[in-house]
Amino acid sequence: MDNSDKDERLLDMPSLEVDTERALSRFANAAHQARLRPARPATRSRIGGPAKWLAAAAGVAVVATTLTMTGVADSIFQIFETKQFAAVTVTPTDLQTLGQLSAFGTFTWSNKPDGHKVASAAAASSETGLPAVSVTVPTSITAAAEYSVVPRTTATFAFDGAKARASAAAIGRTAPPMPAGIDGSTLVFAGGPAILVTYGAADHAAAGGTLFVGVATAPTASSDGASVAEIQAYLLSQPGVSPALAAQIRAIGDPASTLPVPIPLGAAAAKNVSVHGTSGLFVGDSTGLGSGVIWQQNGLVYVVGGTLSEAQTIAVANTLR
Amino acid sequence: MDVEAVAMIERSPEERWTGATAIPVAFERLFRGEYERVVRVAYRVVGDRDEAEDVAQEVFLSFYRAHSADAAYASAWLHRAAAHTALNVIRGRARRVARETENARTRERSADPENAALERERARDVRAALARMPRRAAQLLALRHSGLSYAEVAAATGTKIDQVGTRLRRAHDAFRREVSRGQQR
Repeated sequence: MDNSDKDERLLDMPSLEVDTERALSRFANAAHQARLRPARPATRSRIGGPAKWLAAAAGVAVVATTLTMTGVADSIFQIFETKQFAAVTVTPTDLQTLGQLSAFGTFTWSNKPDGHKVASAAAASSETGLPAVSVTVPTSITAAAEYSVVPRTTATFAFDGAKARASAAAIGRTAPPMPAGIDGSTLVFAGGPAILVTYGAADHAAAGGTLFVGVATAPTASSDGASVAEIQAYLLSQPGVSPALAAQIRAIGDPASTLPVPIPLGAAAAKNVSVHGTSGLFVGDSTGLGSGVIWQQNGLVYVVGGTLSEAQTIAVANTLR
Repeated sequence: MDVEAVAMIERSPEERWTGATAIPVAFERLFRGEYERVVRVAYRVVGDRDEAEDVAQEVFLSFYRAHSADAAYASAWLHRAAAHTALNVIRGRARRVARETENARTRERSADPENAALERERARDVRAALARMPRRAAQLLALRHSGLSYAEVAAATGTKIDQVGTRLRRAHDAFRREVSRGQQR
């Protein structure tokens, strides 16, 4: 008997009868009681998974930025600039409520984050004016690098009290009244340009691993005169926003420069780490399957992530040059 | 129009719900296809059927919240999550077990038939060894010994398929070291 046979015997377990139908029924009940909604199916886009993730993050960041502009002051065109990141834990209900900006007004892309692939790091750098980024790729990642760029993107959001009332009425609810100072006011968001380097598409994460490296001009936000303290109070008073999330947002020490990064409750965990001699935010999938780190340096936001362990992600991030 | 009705309209036929506690068709298909394997991976680690089923339920709930059932990586994600979550369970349990082990050994020596006591002790030693050894190595053993192919193990752990054999051998070495260490205590 060789050693692996001995291990096999040690690891051997009595046979197991599994009742999948009973388990499925138990699962459906648990999901229903917890009011869980399934994640939406993957959709195809021209520049693949990580870019989609960034686009989604940008959408949430728009909300998050709106929420954290307290302290930016009440005068015209005060600017938010992302200098650091703070993790805030969000529940599925929080995300559903805050993810639907269209319920509160009209969101308009001045120019959409319309990413496209380019041939090389040099082409990406030339098109965006950003420095070309590269990292030491772990041996577990076998795919070749692909380069994408996202041009500078701007968007406006105009609050609309009548629309908020109609949206709430459509689902049988009464919305908290939108303060007069907010109704009709406009926020302007700007982000990018950005370069994204991907190794292995997210859709093929199972076959050899995925790594992505991104760099972007730090996102900013401006207000045309609405009281931003009022905006924060108004959005956080929506019925679907948990008191826990509201408390976390209010507790952010430097809201004019701290971008909250939403961490879905139970699905991921975040912590502060040191990367390139500065403070970054590490986010790990709760299964250990994927992780990423984001940090800001000299007006640029960097992100490194993939199907890597925490130690690998931080090690790769520290090789970025 | 209520929220459920709005959700029905927005979703594709594949996603439609079939009742108050029903789940999307695509997810149901994934659940039926993978549940047994997820339980087997967890069972190999935690050594208890009910606990393995609890782990499987947690894994599927996590997946349901954050991932689409039609994701290409769904199976690999579920397998790895099963091993990871099960290892978390026995690592948390290890502290409690360490406190209880001496008392249990004393009781078994005096009250239980010798074979049953040895069997329980062996099972405990195996769980303790899995809990102490490096996580990636423990994951590899759990995945491989629950019946996954080299290709499936490679997919679940993000390892190249031609490295699986070498890594498994190293994992076996680490496992034996930890079992010996446990028995010498």
